[in-house]
Amino acid sequence: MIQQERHLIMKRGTPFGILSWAFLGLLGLGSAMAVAAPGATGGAQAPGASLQQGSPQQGSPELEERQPEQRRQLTGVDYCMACHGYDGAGDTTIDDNGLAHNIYVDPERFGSSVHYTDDLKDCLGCHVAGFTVFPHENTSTKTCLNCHEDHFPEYEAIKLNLEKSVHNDNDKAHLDCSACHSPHAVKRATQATPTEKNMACIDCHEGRFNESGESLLERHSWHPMAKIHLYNLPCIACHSQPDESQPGQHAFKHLITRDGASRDCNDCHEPSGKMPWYLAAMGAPPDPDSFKNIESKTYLTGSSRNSLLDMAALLLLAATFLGCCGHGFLRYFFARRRAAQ
Amino acid sequence: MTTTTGTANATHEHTGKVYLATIVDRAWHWIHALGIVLLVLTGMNIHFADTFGVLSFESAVELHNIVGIVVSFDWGLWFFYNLFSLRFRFYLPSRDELPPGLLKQAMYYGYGIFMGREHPFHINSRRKFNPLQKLSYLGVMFVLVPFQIVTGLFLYSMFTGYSVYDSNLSMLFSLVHYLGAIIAACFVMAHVYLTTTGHQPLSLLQFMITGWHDDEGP
Repeated sequence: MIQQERHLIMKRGTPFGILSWAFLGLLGLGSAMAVAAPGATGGAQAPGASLQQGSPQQGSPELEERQPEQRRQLTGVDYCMACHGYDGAGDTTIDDNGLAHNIYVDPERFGSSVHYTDDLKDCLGCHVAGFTVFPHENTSTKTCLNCHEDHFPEYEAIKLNLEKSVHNDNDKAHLDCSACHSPHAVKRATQATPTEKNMACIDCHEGRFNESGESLLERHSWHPMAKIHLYNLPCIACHSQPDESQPGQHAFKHLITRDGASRDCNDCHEPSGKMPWYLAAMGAPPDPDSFKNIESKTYLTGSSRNSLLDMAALLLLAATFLGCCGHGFLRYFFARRRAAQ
Repeated sequence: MTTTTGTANATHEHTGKVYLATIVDRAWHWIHALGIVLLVLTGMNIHFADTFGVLSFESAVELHNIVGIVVSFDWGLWFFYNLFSLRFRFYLPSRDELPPGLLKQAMYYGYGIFMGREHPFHINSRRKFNPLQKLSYLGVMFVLVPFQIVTGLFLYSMFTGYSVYDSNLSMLFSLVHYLGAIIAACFVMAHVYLTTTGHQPLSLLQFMITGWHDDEGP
């Protein structure tokens, strides 16, 4: 799949790629001119204030070599958003993981992400080297574990599962955390809306990795309540199986593909279903009686579902049916015998 | 052709048939029959939404709600008609029917019917049902159907906002409503089968269509 699309993506060295980089360079130059004009504002509206900092320069010295005031200006998010917040900026190169490298950072999503609201507010906090020269060269960016080292054991467990999944299939893609969980949009599980969570999947599976060509709703039309589930639940509610040994938001690390995902209402909706783990991932306290956590006025099909009860009910219906048939057959049999006598 | 027509307990001059099911009896019966079959089917469509998807979930819920309300009013028709026409007497077992009459009827279904014996209880203007029928109809019409109506209407009231939604009560009521529905489905199957146990396989079905029963006896 990725091979089929490579030709569509800008690459350095191709005419299209050269034009794209030239365009971005002009964009940066334009921004610089806008900033240089007294009282001028312009460019993309980054989180917080408008663009205010100095201009990027070709071959600028690294951050450490600059004066403190200049360094403060260059680390501002607004400064980088002049280029990266422009929604015309898109896929530029293909990364080692096989995915197109998209340089666009949605200012709105980044502005509400935990990496902006909680602490960083500073692109260079993660993009530690090579980002103060234009175009960026010899770059170095922190990985998740550089900061979140306390999650290393969970990461190891997740990594093991990732390595077994299609997301680590070398023929298609070789993904790392940030390929799906964009650090520019990351939120706590309890704060992200289902739509925001699903962007991790939809970004690829509604677009470049949609092999069937059907819409998400079409692909889920088998479900008796497709819309309400599709638009209100994270994809992983069905496309993962919780690991009971790891409750909480990391319970859903076993991703399930289309063919393996459960199509059984009971899988979630019966009291022993996986809904408690899903709710735990959403931030609700783990509770074996999952329905106590549903306070909305929603009819839960299957709220009376229980595999054993359903089996007993079907057996009772079958026994009644077979009993009637058997009784009728015996009546017929004895009537024939009497007639023969 | 008949001594009286359209009047309960009339007897046919030549055939000996007895008129036991009035037009109101037959009306509530067939509305109930169609209604309960639809309720069972739409209920299965809702309960087994992932495997029994004849109708869309929304359509099944809507149809189930409408038919449920129709059947509730139909039960009211049955109750008040039998109450004011004094026809509840047909349902009340006499002292000698419980339990000897029940055993006699059960023995007939378990043995006598295969041997070609006569029905132990003949139907006439004073006896519309055999003891097993009386007991099962009393159970169904005085216990099961009202139970389904009460639990169904309570669920309906919660989901339409007439009463406060409570997820715990919702689960409890949907569970017992489901169990009641299973028993109702079993009753319908057995009831339909037992209509073939008249003098002819279709004679009891004809009785519930025409109102005339052909089993006049002492």
